[in-house]
Amino acid sequence: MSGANASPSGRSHQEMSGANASPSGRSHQAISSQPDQIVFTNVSKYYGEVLGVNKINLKIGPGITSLVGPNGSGKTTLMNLMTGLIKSTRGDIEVLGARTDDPESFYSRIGYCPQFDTFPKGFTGFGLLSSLLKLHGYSRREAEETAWRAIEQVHMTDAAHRRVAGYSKGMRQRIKLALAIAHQPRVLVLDEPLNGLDPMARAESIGLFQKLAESGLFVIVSSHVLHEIDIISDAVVMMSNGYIVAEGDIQDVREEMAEHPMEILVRCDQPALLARRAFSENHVVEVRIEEDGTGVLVRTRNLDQLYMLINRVVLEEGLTIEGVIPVDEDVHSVYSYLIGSDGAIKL
Amino acid sequence: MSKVLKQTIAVVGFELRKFSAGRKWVFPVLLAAGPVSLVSMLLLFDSNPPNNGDITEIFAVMFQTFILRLVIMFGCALVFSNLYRGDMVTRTIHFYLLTPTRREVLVAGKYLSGLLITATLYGATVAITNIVIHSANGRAIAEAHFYNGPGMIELFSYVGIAVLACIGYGSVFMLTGFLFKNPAIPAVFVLLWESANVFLPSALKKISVVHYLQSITPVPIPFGPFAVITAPASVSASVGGLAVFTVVALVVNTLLMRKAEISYSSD
Amino acid sequence: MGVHRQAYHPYKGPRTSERWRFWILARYAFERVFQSRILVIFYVICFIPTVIALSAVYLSHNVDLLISLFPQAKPPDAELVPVNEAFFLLLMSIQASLSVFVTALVGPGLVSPDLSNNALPLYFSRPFSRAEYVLGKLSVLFILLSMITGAPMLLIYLLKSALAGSQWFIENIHLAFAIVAGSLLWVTLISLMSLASSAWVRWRPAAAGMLFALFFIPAGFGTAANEIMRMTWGSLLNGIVLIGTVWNSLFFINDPVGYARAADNLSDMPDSIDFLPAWSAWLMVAALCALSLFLLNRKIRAHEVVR
Repeated sequence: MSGANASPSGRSHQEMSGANASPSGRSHQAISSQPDQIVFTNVSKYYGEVLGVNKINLKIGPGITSLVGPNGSGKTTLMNLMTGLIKSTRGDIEVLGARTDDPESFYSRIGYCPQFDTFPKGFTGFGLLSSLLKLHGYSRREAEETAWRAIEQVHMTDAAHRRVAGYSKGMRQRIKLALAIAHQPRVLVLDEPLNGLDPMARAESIGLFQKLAESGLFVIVSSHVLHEIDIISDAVVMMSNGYIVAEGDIQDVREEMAEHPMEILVRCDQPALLARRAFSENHVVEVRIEEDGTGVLVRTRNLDQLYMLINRVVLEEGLTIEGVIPVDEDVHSVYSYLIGSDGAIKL
Repeated sequence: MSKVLKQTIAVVGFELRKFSAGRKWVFPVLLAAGPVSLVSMLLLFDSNPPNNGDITEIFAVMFQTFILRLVIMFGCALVFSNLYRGDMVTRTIHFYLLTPTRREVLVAGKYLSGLLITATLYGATVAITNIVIHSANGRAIAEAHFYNGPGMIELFSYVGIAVLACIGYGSVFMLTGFLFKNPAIPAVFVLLWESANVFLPSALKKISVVHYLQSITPVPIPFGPFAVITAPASVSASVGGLAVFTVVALVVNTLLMRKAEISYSSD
Repeated sequence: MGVHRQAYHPYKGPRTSERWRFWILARYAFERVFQSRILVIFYVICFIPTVIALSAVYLSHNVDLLISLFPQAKPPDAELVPVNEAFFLLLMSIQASLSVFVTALVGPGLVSPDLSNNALPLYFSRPFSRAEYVLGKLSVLFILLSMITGAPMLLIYLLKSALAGSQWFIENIHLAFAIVAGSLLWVTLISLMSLASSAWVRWRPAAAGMLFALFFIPAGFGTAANEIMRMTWGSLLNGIVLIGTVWNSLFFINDPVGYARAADNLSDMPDSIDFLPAWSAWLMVAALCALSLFLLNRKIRAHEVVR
């Protein structure tokens, strides 16, 4: 993994310093227009001497891509770079072939729901939406119809004609979401969009993101709620201290992490038997019988060999398997292995 | 209607709506009401007003010393400085920057909205003040002044100068609002510079908006024994100069807007 | 969940007395204020007129020293620098003008940032009242401005008394009273106006600009009103004339002739028999202070209700 020349899906970046190669394993090339991807090429952003993000090489495809990382890891910086609100110190960014210095083309493709929780004074939710849609070039009637559709999508019809300044946090969040989706962009960038939402609203929003992603949108979401990330994400980008620590499908990322043995829980009728057989295998690091006596937790360095062992035990000993469950193949586990609770990268 | 025009109108509409919401309109309107309330006092409370000739001079002095240098200048500073810097302070500029609007359109739309507000307010103020003050001696004298005398030409001249002042000061303050985190400092500097204009040598005099506006006022006024006398600029030089200055300022503004980044730091 | 062991205990240590709680705000504000290099430099410059005045008073009582410094100069026949009402009025005008700039540098940063960053709920969710908040912020300006207005002039008065003798001290005690009262009044007025404008405007640069606007625009309006209506009441809007009239009434409290002469100097229309009556100036100052307090009362709240 050194030099990080693996395929785009499922890789952890184990060399943090120095220029990582592009995700496809090639050295950096001049940026070429890629109309179906969001491409970061060697992007760095410094705020004076403070590092925002450093040497980011990333390609994002359609579907839901989640940005995960502790506070100050560079997620918002990456999103602001992606949406052109800030300019990179070095490197290039292209969103579906468009660049930030062409706002007419760029911003018709992208919708952003930022962290900023401020709104112009004196506007109602509906008024703000329709006014901003007119800036997209919509006529008055089109702007009002489109605004209302977006408000319906985020379930804000009751409060649409009230002033935004009087909204609760959750309502303000939903209006921001409506602003981001109203003009039907192809790329939706959402910075902690579920903040302040009650559980019902969270579920509705997640449903909306999934529906949009299924229709071909690029949805980039940042969140701290790892179990929700697990549910909705097609791919994950993990960041820490301005670097990308891992990116891709979470299962593939997990498999790449050889220094952390995989944990598998096998529910069966003879856990002691399976445990005894597992102990004799070299690839098995740890075996533990569950307290309720219905399963065995196995930590192994080689998942394929473990599965073959389970098959042999079933055939030879007549073991009845109720379930084979990967225990740490989720975002939370990968996060804790790679980043940890103090936010520092674990090499 | 072309998309650019629609977007420009949309920006103007958005700005006008922001201006009328909240309390942003209070001080500019109070400023506009100042001269009107002054001359209304004359109409209501002075039973022996000055004659029409004196009134013309009184208005000329009031226009050049109070309306131009204080009311319009401060009003434009309030309105135009806020156009960009206000959005940065309230952390709402990203709403504009996330729309597919060319930066030139954004700058033009904001400037036009500021101009619409100030030209309407202060143009109306000047017109109303002029009409009211000349009505102090009764309707007959006022009608004779406006319809049979120089009154109408003077009225249109003063209103035109007020609008030109809004154009000139507007571009200055929109630029300072962009360049300075604290636009109050350049505003005070401009105020002091414009106020001291009469005492400056000729070469320095020409680096001001008020010199060109003063040059085309219909009724000149004396500025006292310490004023430096300079040949007034012609109408075409004044109007043309202000127009060129405004265009240059807006172009600079656009170039700066293209490089703008969102950096909402604390005040 | 049962509590098995009471490990948490509230703070039992010493607390600031309620009377001095406002001073906590002032302490932190002073720390921030003196981080500004521009302010520090300007504040030092504000003492220059006082230093010059002190030197002049000292030299006028030490003619020998004066002659040794300037041998070509002719020894003065009368007192070099007469320390009287006119002297203190001139010095107070200079110091007051400088204090306007200090207020513009310091005042807006006291309240505006708290409002714009939504910090007031943090203050008022603690045992801290709105009055204490205003008092804390006000005391910063009060102390800073008093140090460059009243305090230096009292020092000059005391120096003159020391040089001229106790008889001079007794005969001119009204000057000390006028200095203290006049500078307290000025400092209170300008501090309240600065806080009120920064609370109303919320944006720090605009609050600074507003302070200047509050001086220039009403003054222009007042002057224009005087011209048009041929009256003096417009001078009530002119800060310089307003506070000058109040000071005149304090310094010339027993000298109507001196008062008339000083008032004439202040007037827009010199040699006119009309000038602003002192009672109207006092009333206007009181009204401005009351208005500032009213605005502060409206804006300094723990939360804002939007309908």
